[in-house]
Amino acid sequence: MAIAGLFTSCNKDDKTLSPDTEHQHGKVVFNFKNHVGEQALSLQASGYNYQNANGDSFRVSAYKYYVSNVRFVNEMGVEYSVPESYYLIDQSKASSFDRTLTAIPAGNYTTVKVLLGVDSTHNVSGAQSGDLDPIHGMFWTWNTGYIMAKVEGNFKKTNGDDAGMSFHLGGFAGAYSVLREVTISLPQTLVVGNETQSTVSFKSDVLKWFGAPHTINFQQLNQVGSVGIDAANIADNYSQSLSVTSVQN
Amino acid sequence: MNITASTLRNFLLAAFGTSLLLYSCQKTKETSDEAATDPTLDNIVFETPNGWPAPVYNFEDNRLSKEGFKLGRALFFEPMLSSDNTISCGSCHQPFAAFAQIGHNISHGVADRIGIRNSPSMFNLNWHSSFFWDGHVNHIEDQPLAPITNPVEMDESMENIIKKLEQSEHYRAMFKDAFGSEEITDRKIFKAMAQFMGMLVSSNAKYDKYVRNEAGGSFAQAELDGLHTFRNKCSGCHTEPLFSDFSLRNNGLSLVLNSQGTVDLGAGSITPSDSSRYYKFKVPSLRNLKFTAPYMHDGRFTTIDEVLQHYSSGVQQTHNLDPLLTNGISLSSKEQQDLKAFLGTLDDESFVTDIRFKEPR
Repeated sequence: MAIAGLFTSCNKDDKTLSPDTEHQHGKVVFNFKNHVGEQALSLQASGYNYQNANGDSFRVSAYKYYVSNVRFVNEMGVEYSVPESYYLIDQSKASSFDRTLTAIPAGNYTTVKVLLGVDSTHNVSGAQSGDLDPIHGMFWTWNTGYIMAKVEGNFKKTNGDDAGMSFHLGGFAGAYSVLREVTISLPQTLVVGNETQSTVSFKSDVLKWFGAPHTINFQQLNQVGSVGIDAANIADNYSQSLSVTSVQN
Repeated sequence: MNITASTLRNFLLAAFGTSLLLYSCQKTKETSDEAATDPTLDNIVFETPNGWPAPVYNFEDNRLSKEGFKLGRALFFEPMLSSDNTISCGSCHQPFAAFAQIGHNISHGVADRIGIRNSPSMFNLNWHSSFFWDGHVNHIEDQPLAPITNPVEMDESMENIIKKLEQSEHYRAMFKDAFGSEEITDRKIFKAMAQFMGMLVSSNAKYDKYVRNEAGGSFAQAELDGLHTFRNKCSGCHTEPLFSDFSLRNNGLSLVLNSQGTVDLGAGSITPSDSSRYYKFKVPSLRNLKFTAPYMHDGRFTTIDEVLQHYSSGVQQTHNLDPLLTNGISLSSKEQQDLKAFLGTLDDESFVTDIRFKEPR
């Protein structure tokens, strides 16, 4: 009898939920909208429609980033981890903006946690399919791993010339890892019930890449494409770029 | 000292037992390495696909072997070949991108340095008569030296590379397996790499199955129309079955300043006093375009649409413009759509997923 009791409580420690078909579950749609400050992000091939904190005028031609390892935390502090959650948001592909997360256990969730980037394990192993397929142009090599996020475009130099800017954030281990955990308190409780569908709307702000704590001056730094201190500094900025604007139950 | 039989027996057992232990550990490692590789490497052979011309390079002076191929593959993906041990050949020549680099018009080398040219795709190299966009190297065994020593690419010397490789027991063993001794020389490094690079053959696209009348080779109407248009308008430079004649030509690209603030003279940069080679670049193969955007020597065109627009309405009358392009290539919008459909039949999924060519983990 005591032994049976032991087994019924297996893989259910106090702080995590597993996907469990005995419980009720619903869907949560993640909707991502990319912005540059208060303006919606619009990719363009000429002109400068944005300005960074340093005062550099710029335009964006590409914006792509990974959001992964999604966890929902309920009002009791219990976490549910969405298995195999890897989403590549690509400004040039509107179909990437809406992601449906299924089989979320019923509950009232107050916080969402994500990893900005691809976790270190998947940088060195695992299936490279779907959003993790290297065909998406977000993978270097097994040695150096994924490009966790990238922004590309052009800016106006102080002498008036047009020049390219390209920031590829990679590095999954050690002092210069660009991986950043983000914990977001939801503006209202996400209520998941049996076969319900809710939407959590995210905002990703390109301006945050260049503002604080490290103000980026394009005139001095316009190119990051390898693991190192520059990528790590921008990742500190970038870690503040994601927020939740609304929850609809 | 009196050595008893039992002492001798115990001693022999200990010695023999230890070596057995060592042998079995080593064997396990070897087994797991073997498990990760493709068994077809056992009978490694370079084959000329039916109907293709004879290759320029055929391993006559570089006996192809499984060990040589594996060493070449290891070196190709080895970041120690760069000065800061971060960049390998595979960094800019990605197997899943037909050995180009996805999403990069110009690639970065060590310390985020950039050059002026797009990383070219790599396949069917044994049929190439010259290498690089400007054709300045004509032997595959001489090719790796240029990116290795280029300060904006790998910024390393062969001398340093050899020193680094010599420190690795694993590499010394691989050189021994491939060439019979642990001695590491630059000539052996290049021969091993040529064994790997030369085996990168892409000949199983839908087009190839069509030509061979095989299952999976049945063309849709747009693809057939595209093949017809292609043969009329493109095959002067992009000759079947390799889809390039590998000659150096000026295809009328507008002259723009590169990251060094100059205009790329192409083949003319080798002999700048001879303007007859200005702006001529090696005709690239049109195979595997799905995996190798962006296009041209500086990656200026992100889509095939842009390339077709260039040929139909964007050809510039620059010095040495190829005679075949004097008036551009008139292409109706239907012809452009058909061409795109046909070019899609040159994408070889089996090549970009071939486990023999993947980066070892």
